Amino acid sequence: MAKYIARRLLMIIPVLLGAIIVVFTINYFSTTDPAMVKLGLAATDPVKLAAMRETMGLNRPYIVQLGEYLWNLLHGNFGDSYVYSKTVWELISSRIPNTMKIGLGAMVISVCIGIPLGLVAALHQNSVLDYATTAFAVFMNAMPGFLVAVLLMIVFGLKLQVLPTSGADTWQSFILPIIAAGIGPICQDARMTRSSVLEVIRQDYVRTARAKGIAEGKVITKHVLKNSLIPILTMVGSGLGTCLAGSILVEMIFNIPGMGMLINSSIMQKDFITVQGCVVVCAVVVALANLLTDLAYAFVDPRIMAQYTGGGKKKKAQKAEEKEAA
Amino acid sequence: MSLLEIKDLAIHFPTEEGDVRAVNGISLTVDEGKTLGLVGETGAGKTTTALGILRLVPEPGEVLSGEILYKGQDIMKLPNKEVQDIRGNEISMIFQDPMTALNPVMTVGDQVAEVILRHQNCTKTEAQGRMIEILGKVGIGSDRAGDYPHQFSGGMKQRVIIAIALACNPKLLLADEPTTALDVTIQAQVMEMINELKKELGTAMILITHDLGIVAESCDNVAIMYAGQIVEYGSLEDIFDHTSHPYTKGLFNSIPSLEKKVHRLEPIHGLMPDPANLPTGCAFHPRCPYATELCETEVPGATEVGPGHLCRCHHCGNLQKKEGVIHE
Amino acid sequence: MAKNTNKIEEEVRLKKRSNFGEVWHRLKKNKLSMVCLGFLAVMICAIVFSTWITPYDYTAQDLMSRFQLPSKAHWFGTDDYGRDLLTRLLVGGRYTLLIAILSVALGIVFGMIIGALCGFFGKWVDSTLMRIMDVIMSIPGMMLAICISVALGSGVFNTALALAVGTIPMIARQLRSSTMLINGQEYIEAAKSFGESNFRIIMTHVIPNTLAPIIVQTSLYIGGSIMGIAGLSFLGLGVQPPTPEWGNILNNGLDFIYDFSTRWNVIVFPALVIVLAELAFNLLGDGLRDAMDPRMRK
Repeated sequence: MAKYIARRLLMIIPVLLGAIIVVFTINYFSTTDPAMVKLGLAATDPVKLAAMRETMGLNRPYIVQLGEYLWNLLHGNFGDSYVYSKTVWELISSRIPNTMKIGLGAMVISVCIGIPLGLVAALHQNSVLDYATTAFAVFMNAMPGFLVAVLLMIVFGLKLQVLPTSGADTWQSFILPIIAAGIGPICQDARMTRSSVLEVIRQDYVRTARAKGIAEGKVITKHVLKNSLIPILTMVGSGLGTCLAGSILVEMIFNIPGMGMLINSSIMQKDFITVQGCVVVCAVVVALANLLTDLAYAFVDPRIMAQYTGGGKKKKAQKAEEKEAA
Repeated sequence: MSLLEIKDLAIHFPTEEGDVRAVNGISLTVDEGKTLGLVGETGAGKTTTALGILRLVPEPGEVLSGEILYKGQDIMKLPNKEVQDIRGNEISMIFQDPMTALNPVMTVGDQVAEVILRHQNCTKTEAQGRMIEILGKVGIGSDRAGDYPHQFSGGMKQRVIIAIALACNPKLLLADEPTTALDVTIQAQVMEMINELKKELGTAMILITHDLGIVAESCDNVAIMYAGQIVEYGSLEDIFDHTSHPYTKGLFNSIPSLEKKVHRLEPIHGLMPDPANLPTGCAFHPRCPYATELCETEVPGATEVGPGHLCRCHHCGNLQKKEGVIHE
Repeated sequence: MAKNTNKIEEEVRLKKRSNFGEVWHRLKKNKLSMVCLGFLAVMICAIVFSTWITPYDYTAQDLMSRFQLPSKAHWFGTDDYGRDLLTRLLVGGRYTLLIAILSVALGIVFGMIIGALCGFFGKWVDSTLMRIMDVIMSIPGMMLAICISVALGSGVFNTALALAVGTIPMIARQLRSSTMLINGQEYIEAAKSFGESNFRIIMTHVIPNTLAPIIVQTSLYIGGSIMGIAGLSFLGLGVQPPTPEWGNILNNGLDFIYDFSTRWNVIVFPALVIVLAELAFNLLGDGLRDAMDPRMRK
């Protein structure tokens, strides 16, 4: 197991490095000049502009700048904001908790509601409940998260006035944002679970289990659920990315000081190095989530573990069989 | 009283393309310790019959009519709980495809122990012991009980499935083409093992196959199925030496033989009819070299051509080839 | 006997029908998909011929009639500058759909090229390109779109490109696997043995044979793209006002969310248009996928 985790951890490094390089490169070719943003109104003076470009190191070749960015990242330094006299990390770190609360909260409710919903729909295929779940999932899938947020805000915040619609002061302030960011993933998880369970329930080994005389409830929990979990896990893992992106849009509706608000204000002020930092943070979080998903896979599905631990056992088994045959 | 008696069982699958009549009123009996061979082409309704006995016909299949009497009790009328008590315990099944019949995320030991724990009042340790014992019987060492199905070859998987089926000493074993998916070299081994264990435990068996060679080796009685019906039924001797039905004849003629010198094998022409759209009259008449007008219009009943030897054919006493008809 | 001949003819006809014909035949049976197709057709016609539908100019401001609720003169009411909302939504639809279709087209073209190269050449070309695709896939799609959009600035083409980059790896992966499947077929061997160039083989044999599933998924991709555009507009990226686009019309309306009870039309109508269009594309895509799925075949 340790070997497997180590291998997976090693594999994540080049991908993450690549992602950071991609993000840096996109920004490098940006049409906006960072020096101009930094100088603000004084940018009309060409001398000052040239001096600023020199001090920011913008005249150096691409590869040197990339190297420096990566080197600094390795030390936890995301660079300095063009607009504020703060480092990007200072800006981001204070915002991460709020975004994480919404993103993780959305992921938790998507798992806790979506998977049971999909399971029930699959077990009662073609029932009213099944149709209702599917229709709801299809409809909600077509709603951008921020629109759900607007809807929730209008209904619960403005009409019923039961929940706060702005700020992040109390735990209640997070209820609506979490629902808004989670509703898309709930629908995806429900649809995925439904189709996965329907697929597994048709498998021969489920028939074998029934032929053993196992009661239906136990057939579902012991044989169907574990096998259908494999594609669902992928969905949940990649769902964190969706949840984070959802959080970023939702924060702005509910006026929650998280990374979404930071990205938005940075876009407005053309403070692109901060946007870049936020994207890098999200990429790291998503990569870690994918790693956790893969580890979870290995627990659920012994075939995946075998791929990484070199299939030594299988070879041994084959040899034993050959011996027996001879 | 026979161990199992099926009376006039009919199973259909309502689909969009029409009503698929997979099993069309079959009757058969299996006595304790005896083996019945159920022979027919793919799609003749053999597997559906076996699943019907366990009440495991997959959706949207339904049992239309008929009785399945196990020790005199109609399985069709039992409550679910009691059927579950019978499955895997009194009647168990060996499935056709060992590659897909085992749960890929459970160790084979657990899968064998599961059925023991379900039906025998014993502790987990006792079940483990029994599991090791039965795996040993099918030739799998105790060191492999903790392995997963993907670490086994096809033949080894089939052994595990046989172990699961025999773990609770069932009275009746339904073996659905147990060797079809295996390599030829393994086929004989597995068949031999099933026969030995069957003898040891005194189990009765319904052996589903399309291989008449296997039937000759293992069966006491034979039922030949065609398009959801048993067209000929009798003892091994009746079927092999006093073949009456043209379809059965066709099956024998399509096997190469060392004894008889034949210029050319005579296969049965044409294909199995679409079960959603069966021909009128005798279902076999479009392919039958002896068919007459009567066969096109009237469904033949079962006639007794010898003691206990039944045949569903209008002409089963005197088969005469139609003249001037060449089947391509 | 005659009955039999008819049946055989019918079977031959069924077999002769092309792959696309068969998919269409099955799609026609799916009522929901046909409703969606009809809705999209009507919507696209309305968008294309919008000048003949509403008498207003989409930029004409009329400060005397700001925030009017729906009436005979203004079916969807007016916005904060007194512009006719229906006109703006119809004209905005041109930009939204243009961006959506352009982004999907870009995604397909690049995805196709990369996928075909990987599948056809294999070896190091494959592993290099696929690793790059993995990297792009590791960045959440919306984040990537934000990043590119920020770097390139606003505009129709830039927005389309920003959204396209995220879809390239998905299309490339799918095409790679289907190309590999086709590559093993004998007619490719045959073409190679005739001495046809690799380029020609890719263009005449590989791409046409791998295209069908991608074309069918286009509908789903367009649906996703509309959602992406709305998201970007919401963040103030994408097409900038006063050029109308569904996302920025909605975003503009959201400024007045606290006056929802009196000014609901500036939020409800753009939101409805986006959701309905998205729903129609998604459902049509689902229907197409079901029609393509061989497991549905008899």
